[in-house]
Formats: sequence, C-alpha cells, structure tokens
Amino acid sequence: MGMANGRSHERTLIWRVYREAMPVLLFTVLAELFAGSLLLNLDVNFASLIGLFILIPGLMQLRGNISTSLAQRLGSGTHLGTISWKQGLNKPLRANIKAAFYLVIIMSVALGVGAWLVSLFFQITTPRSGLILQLSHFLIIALGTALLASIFQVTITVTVALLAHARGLDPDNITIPIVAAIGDIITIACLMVAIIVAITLIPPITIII
Amino acid sequence: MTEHTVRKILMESLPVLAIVLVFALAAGQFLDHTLEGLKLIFPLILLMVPAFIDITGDLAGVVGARVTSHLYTGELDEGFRPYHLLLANLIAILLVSTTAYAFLGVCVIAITIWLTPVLGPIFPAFGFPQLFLAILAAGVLATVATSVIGLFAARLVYRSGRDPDSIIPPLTTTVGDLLGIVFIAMALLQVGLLFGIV
Repeated sequence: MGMANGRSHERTLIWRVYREAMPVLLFTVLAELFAGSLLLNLDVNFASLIGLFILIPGLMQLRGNISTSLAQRLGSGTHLGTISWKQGLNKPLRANIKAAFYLVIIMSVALGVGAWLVSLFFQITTPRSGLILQLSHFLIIALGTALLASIFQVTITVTVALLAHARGLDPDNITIPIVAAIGDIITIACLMVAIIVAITLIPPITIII
Repeated sequence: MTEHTVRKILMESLPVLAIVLVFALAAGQFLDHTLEGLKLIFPLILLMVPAFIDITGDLAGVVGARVTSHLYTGELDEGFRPYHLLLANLIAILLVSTTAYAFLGVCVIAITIWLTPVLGPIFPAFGFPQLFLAILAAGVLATVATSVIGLFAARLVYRSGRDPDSIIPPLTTTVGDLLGIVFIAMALLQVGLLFGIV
C-alpha cells in the first residue's frame, strides 16, 4: 500500500517537473536558435580573426551569471519590500545596479586577458594563418561587448522585475526566463558592434604560415 | 543576507565567477580549436551551439536546485537516500532533455532545409537521421553528465552551509557549456569518421 502510494507520488513529481520546465525550455530553444543564426553571421564576416571564438562562451556566461543573479536579488528585494517601482531608484536598487556593472567590468577584463593568453599559447604551439588579435583587441571586444550588452540587459531586467511586481506577479517566475532567452541575442549583436570598433581602431596584423 | 550593498554582492559573486571564467575559457578554446573541422562535417554547427549549451546548463541547474531543496527539507539524506526519489528527479530531467534536444534537432534540420536554396550546399556531409541522432545522443549524455556534477555540487554546498542560489546555477551552466560543446563535437566527429569525412 505504502509502496503503491510512493510510486504514484514519484510519477506525479516526474510529470510536474516535465510540465513546468517544458514550455519555457521550448521558447528558449527558439530564442537561442535566433542567437545561433547571428553567430553564423558573425563567423561568415570575421572567420579570419584568430581566437575570436575563445571569447564566446565566456561572454554568454557573463550575461547569464550577472543578470540572472541581479534578477534573483531584485526578486528577493521586491518580496522584502526594499525595492519597488514606486520607490524608484532608491539606495538598495542603486547598489544592485552598481554591483552588476562592477562585476561586468572586472569579469570582462579578466576574460579578455585570459582569452588573449590562451590564444597566444595556442598560436605558439599550433600556429594558424589569419588575422592576429592583440591584447588591446581582446580587451576592447570583451569589455565593449559586456558593457554595451549590460546596459540593455540591466535596463530590461530592472524594468521587467519591477513591473511584474507592480502588476502583482511574482518576479522570480518571470524575470529569469525572459532575461535568459533574449540575453544571448543581445550579447551576440553587441559583440558584432564591438568587433567592428576594435578592428577599425587598431587594424589587426595578417599572419601567413 | 537581506541587505544589498555593493561590497557584499561583489564578495559573494567574485569567487564563483573566477571558477566560471576558467571553465568558460576552456569551452571557448575547445570551440575555437575544433570549429574548422566541425564545419566540414556540418556547416551550420554554430547555429545550434547557443541552444545546445543552454539546455544542458539549464537542466543541470534544475537538478541541482531540486536536490538541494530535498536535502534541506530532509527528504534526501547526505548519501542521496532514498534512491527512488533521486531517481525520479533524474528520470524527469531525462524526459525533459530528450524532448528538448529532439525539438532542437527537428528545428535545426528544418532551418538547414530552408536555408539550402539561399546559402548553397549546406547539408551535413551525411544524412539528416545521423545529424538528429548525434544531437539527441550528445545532448542527453551532456545533460546527464552535468546533472551528476550538479548533484555532488548540491551536496557540497549543503554541507558547507553556503547559499546554494549563488553557487549552483553558475557552476552548472558553465560546466554545461563545456560538456555540451565537447559532447556535440565528439558526436559529430564520430559521425564524420564513420562517413569518412575527417
């Protein structure tokens, strides 16, 4: 009897997880495929830049970690009543926005330096022909993409979280899926702008092996 | 815990983000290094990379979060007993990931067929059934592998008494990125070898 109850309880658990996760996930797949089409476009235009793709998972992670945790903290803030649409840009909200930008700056500079070191190492051990990106390129691309994308991301995250709360909805259930789904699209679009700025300011050197 | 100051947020986030950075650079280097070869096997590989790695990390994050809750409520002990509850969570994720990667596979094939008249010959150098199976197998395996890592991370975080929200999601998404890229690359290279392309 107890066993039978246990089994049906688990079956309920499995279907509940399935039903709750599936709609958001399918929407995410479609949004990420759009991000993927931008990535294809990026590759077609900038395939000769050696080591560019080292930055991509890091840049996509950066938005995920920083704006997802911002969304989570804003969710807690609205539940506690310290942050709301009516209170506007008060001290706790300003601290959250400031911290998000400091994190973006620190992490994207670290990512740029790291990607440059990795690409330098592999260019020495297994040289490839193409356009060599200098440290300055990696820094401009990483910092530029991260800052530009964060301006959009943070604005959208704050607006969605506070509006959801003002409308009586739970920000925890709404903000993260929306921010996550459009995050990669914004990041890759900003990455294209940053690459064009970087290679226009400092033309990369061509290496033929 | 409730008060948000710039210093406190930075102190909580930076150590985890430093670990994330190392995994992200490893994933990036692997992608950069295998991309040329992978493009010979399937020219539209980059189309599915963001979706592929996102699903893996998301689902492992769900397992990590659910298991942490079970540990805190006492439904699971530190040895993950009773196993049938753990198993129910893993089966749920297995079903979700199978559906999600099957959907991704169908979408990727549909887009490939749709883009062929525009871009010229971009069909995978082998058949669509093989492409579909490669996406499904690599996706489900990467999700299961990342979920198992999420399980042990959940236990570690539970024992240390830290806030699981600030550790498990960044960790599972970044490990998911790395394993997702490695598994799909290996699956495509394997199919490429079978068909004598690489």
